[in-house]
Amino acid sequence: MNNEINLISNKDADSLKTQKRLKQTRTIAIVSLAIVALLSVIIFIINTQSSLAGIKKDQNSTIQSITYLNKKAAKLAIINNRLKDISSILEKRKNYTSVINTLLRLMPPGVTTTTLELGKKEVILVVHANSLLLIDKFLNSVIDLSLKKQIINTVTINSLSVNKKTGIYSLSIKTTLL
Amino acid sequence: MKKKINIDSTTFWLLYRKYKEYFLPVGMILVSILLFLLVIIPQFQNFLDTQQQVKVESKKLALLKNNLNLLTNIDESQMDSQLQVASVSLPPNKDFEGILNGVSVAANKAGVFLGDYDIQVGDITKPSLNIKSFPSLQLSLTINGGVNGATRFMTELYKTVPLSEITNVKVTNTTSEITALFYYRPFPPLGFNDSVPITPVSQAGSSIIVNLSSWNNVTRTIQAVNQPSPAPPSAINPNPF
Repeated sequence: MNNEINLISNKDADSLKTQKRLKQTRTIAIVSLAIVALLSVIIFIINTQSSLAGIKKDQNSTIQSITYLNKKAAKLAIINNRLKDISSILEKRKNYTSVINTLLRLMPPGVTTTTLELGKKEVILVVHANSLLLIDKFLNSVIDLSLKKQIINTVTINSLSVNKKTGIYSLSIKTTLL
Repeated sequence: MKKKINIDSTTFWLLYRKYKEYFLPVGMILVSILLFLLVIIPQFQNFLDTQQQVKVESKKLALLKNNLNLLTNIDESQMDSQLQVASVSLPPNKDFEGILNGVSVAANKAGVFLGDYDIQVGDITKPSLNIKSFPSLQLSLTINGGVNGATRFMTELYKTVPLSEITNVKVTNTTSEITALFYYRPFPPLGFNDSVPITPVSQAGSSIIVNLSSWNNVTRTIQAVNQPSPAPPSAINPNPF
């Protein structure tokens, strides 16, 4: 007997398969529709419960309250603005007093000054002494200060003269400020 | 051709009869997909946008509440005195009276006598608020003092209001010529922006105010400003309110 010959019809099996597929399709359709409906409801509820409107209302009432305090706010803004400007001026203005005091401290006893000119960038100083040694000591101190880059940058000798009648030496130097 | 159409029609009917039960579920699936794409996704996007907006608006509300809290709790009388000190230190306009008082006070404290003085008024138009540098009045004056007198005077002038900056000094044996700039600056335009945080006076700012309060001429200038006088409307008024 040949086993490959099948005389039994497959009709029932095909029908069952078709019904099963139809059932699956219907299930998928219902589930997808249910998911869409559920998602719609969830998003709707979440969107409804959003507190944006409440926040806006709170903002408006707070702004309204701040409006009554506008004068205070303006005063505070002006104070802060003034303080920023004052701080900027205090930081940038040059303290000539410390420059003068530093230069005067460098003068050994016996050295006096008669002329001192301070500009934004330079200082001209004329000192007198009855000894060249004192002038030399002062000059070396100024040069040391410039080498240390403290207050002054460069030192130039404008003139060195002696008054034959009085025997007083005069030194004029120009220094540039840091 | 006609025959061919008949065959297609027959095929169509055969297919229809075979698959007609699938039409409804497949249609439902397609509708669900369409609803998902056209409604659910945009709604979800909308939800995300709203959440973002809520976050932004919540921050803004917190900022507003902070501003309100700060303004409510701030001491107005203290603020007034701070404003006065700041305004006499950096006046809003050319404060000739304050400058002359200041120079006189500094000279007295330094123990030197004031000689001639010369004020360069400069531009008389109202300075622009946008300029970065500070408008100033230049004052050249002579004092009868040598290096020590000039140093004492400069030290006192730097502790005197209105704020000044010495730009040039010429000292001889007995007299000294000093050139100083006295700064002023108009008040900025007042405007309230509710999205900008209001900052209280900082610790550094408070220190500056305390320091300025101890300077020469502060009390005198504040008193002069507070006293009603028949001055013209353009006179100095450190309080813009």
